[in-house]
Amino acid sequence: MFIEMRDVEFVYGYKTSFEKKALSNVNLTISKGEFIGIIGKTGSGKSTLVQLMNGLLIPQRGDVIVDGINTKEKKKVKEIRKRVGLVFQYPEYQLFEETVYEDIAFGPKNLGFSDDEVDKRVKEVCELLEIPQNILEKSPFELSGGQKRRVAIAGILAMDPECLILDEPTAGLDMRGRRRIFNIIERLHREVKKTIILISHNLEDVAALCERVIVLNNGKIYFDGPKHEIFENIQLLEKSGLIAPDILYLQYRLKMRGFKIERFEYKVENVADMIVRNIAGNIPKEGGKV
Amino acid sequence: MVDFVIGQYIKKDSFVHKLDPRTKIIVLVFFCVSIFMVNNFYGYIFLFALILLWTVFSKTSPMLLLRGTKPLFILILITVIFNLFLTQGRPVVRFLGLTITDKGIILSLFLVIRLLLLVFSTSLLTLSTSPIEITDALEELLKPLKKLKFPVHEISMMMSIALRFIPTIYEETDKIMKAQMSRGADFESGGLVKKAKSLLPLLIPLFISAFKRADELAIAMEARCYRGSEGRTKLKKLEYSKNDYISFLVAAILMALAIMVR
Repeated sequence: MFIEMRDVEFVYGYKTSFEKKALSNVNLTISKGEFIGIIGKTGSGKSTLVQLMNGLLIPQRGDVIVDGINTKEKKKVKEIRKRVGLVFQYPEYQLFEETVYEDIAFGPKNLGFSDDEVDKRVKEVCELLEIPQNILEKSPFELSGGQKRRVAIAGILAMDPECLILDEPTAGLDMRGRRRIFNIIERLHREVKKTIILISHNLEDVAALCERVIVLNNGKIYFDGPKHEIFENIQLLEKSGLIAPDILYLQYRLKMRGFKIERFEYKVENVADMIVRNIAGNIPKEGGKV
Repeated sequence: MVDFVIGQYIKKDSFVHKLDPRTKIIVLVFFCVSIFMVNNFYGYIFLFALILLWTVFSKTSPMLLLRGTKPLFILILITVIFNLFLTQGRPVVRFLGLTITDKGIILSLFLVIRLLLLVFSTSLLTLSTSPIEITDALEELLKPLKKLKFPVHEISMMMSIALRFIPTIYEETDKIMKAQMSRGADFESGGLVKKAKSLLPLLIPLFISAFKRADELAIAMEARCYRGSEGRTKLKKLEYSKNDYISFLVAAILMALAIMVR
């Protein structure tokens, strides 16, 4: 068990006249190597939940345990942040150093790595995040939106966390930028074996990428399980105020019209294959990239 | 942060809340002047009576007012100590080479009363008047200065924008702090120099976004044809009502009595 949450309750403005309950009765276990999507309406407690996971917020009731460390142990807070990296929404707002290199190095330096090691890590994450060497000496404020975003994510990844949490990592990016970020995240999970937790408003992305889905509704866990259980039960999903991805509605319609669908697909190319199989049985499989 | 009472506004439906904000500001100004003109304890009874009336008619809880004095406790303590020991006069108590004089005691008591009255009255103003009302009233009251080419409207607009963005900037500070803490930044430990240095990762992004937001706000205002005070009309026109005249009268009588009892 990598992250464990037991009976967690969190209230903003605790013991003031502005109390607002954000989460209650949260029980959750996350193992190493999982790829989890967290979805829910605005204000359902998604951001609060992930801030509890790296000790930025401490629950008033219940415990959050990360790799055996309780987040309530104030002295070990750096240990926790080293293990769980959290990329906030619009992370480019946290950039501040004079050069891109310095900014990416900020995290590992804070954790006390030697200069050589810092250098090695910066180079490593730049490769992973497709950040060209020639911008390392530029000011982070000169970069384009997509580049800034990748540099900001690199800043977290350079701390080499076991688990990477991304809060809406593609908000405000164009299609190309989004696809690029998601390709990178997928590679981080598959090749570098990171545990990934992804918060997104875009259910299509969550459906395509994640294996397990957690749905939050009004500060409570509404659903937690493999993605097909929630995405194939559209009524259940809609009850929490969310709308299923178009690609699923399409398959529903096709099924109602007599298509043979054993298993719902989440990626466009797979759905295309399925349609072709249904219509013509043996049209050759498409090859290469579109 | 939340415990800071001065400057907070609490929405309520009360006599004082409904008064013209100009009335409240004018009364407050004269009140502050009279605090320093009164020179004996009897006079302060009338001033406290006015505070009491204001509290009751604004439905403010007295506990809240008292809590508002908390941040000033040290300031009051220091001024009392200085006045107690450093005032010349007839010695009353002597110890450890320090003397407390009769004048010292009286002067420090006066100071406590004056500071309390100041805090109470200003808190009552802000508790019962929204920031927008205050800036509106100030603009109205300062209008005569326009003849001297003083940019009254512009300044009150700047004030209301500043007030409007305090919560936004507070929220943003919190967010950036958390983002940097996720990168292992430490805002708490270390000496003074280290602490000041550790603020850079917070301040730089904060300034950048503040400038950006100012720019966007300017464009948004221009898009809605804002061009300063010229020909600008008000949605809510300030007008004195009967209640305002009554309040003026009561306040004037009490303050006059306070000053006349010498």
